[in-house]
Amino acid sequence: MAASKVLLQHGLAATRIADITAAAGLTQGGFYRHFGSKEQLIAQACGAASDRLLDMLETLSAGLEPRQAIERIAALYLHQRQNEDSALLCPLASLGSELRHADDDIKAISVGGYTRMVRLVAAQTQRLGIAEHSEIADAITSTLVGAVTLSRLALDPAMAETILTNAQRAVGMLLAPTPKSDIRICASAQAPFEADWSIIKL
Amino acid sequence: MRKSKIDTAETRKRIISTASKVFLTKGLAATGIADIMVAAGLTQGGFYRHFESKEQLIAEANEAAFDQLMDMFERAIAGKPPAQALDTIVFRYLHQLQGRDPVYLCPLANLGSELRHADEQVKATTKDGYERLVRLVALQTQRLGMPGYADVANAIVSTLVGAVTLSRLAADASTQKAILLNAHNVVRVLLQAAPQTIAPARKRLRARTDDTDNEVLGGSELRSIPTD
Repeated sequence: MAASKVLLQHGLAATRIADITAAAGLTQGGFYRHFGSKEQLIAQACGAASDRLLDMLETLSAGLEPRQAIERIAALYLHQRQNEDSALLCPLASLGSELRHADDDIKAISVGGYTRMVRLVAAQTQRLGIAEHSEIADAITSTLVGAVTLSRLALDPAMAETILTNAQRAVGMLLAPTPKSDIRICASAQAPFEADWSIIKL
Repeated sequence: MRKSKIDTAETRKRIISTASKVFLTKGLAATGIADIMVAAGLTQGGFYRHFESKEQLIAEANEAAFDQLMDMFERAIAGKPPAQALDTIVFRYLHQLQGRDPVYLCPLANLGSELRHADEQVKATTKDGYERLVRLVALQTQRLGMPGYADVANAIVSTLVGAVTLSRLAADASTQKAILLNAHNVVRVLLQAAPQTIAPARKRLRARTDDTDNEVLGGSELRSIPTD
């Protein structure tokens, strides 16, 4: 718990074993009795952090109507930083770009958290009767993770709030009471400009 | 300018453009000054003749990366109607990794969480780049006649950055592709769902009801994330 808080706030590179042991009230020697390496600790800390967050989202969205449940999940996820207890930060949004360079165990655990998040949202989009429920859930997850990542880069609170509010609104718009066929529109939208790579492939 | 001054300016430029590629692919923490100087074909000792610190280089590399990206987008959308311009921006942003050259990688999606821990100078260039990206998209949503064009643009950018960040964590190519494709299609849905005064996009993205059309159009349908 102490480790995941330090990691999520300061990032993987900046966190040394000494910071974690200090936060947890352990000695350096004590650390190696519990963990083989910093990587092993990071993997477990990420797993624990994402479990805590998702357990919370699951509990607080239980028993709600599907639209309400999704909006609740989005609001809680987007405002994860406002939680008194920074133990509820999502590794995907807090460590996103760093996880890519981490070892395979850490990556596998991050992907596991991502999959669980998509499933949590998809269970609700399915209840809403959206045909592409898991695809929409996947995109909602991208929007939420992107918004939190960006809001944490914002230099002032107003800018951060704008990013979070717009993401929440976008989720609401995606769930707007449109006939199912409207969702299908995107499924048959024109193919992207795949051939148009003249500038990219110099 | 005297020849030596021109040389110095060119060397400086070379360091920045090399740095921006190395940072974007390997991350900030893992990249040392020595790595960059070697990649640029220079000796490590020369670094401090050009820059005060690694942070200063990160800031300038960041700025250069955003410049490249914006120039590429602007060239790609020149003369296109707004709906098509938006689709081009979204597609190119989402598929930035498929370019052969890391020159068009976006710092927001590739260095996102690391930039948060950088110094004020770096954060200022990041904010600037983010705002340019939002403006680029907002210009098109405005041309589409959306009353809340800036807000929609803001949400689209979050979706794009989130999708590229997540796709880079994905374990396999099909999950990666699914994340990007779903983001693209959701942006299209979002553009339709957003309140509009005029809606030229609707014409282009009109509903097709029969499923054979979906078959024919392959490739653009929403794709499931393979689980397990």
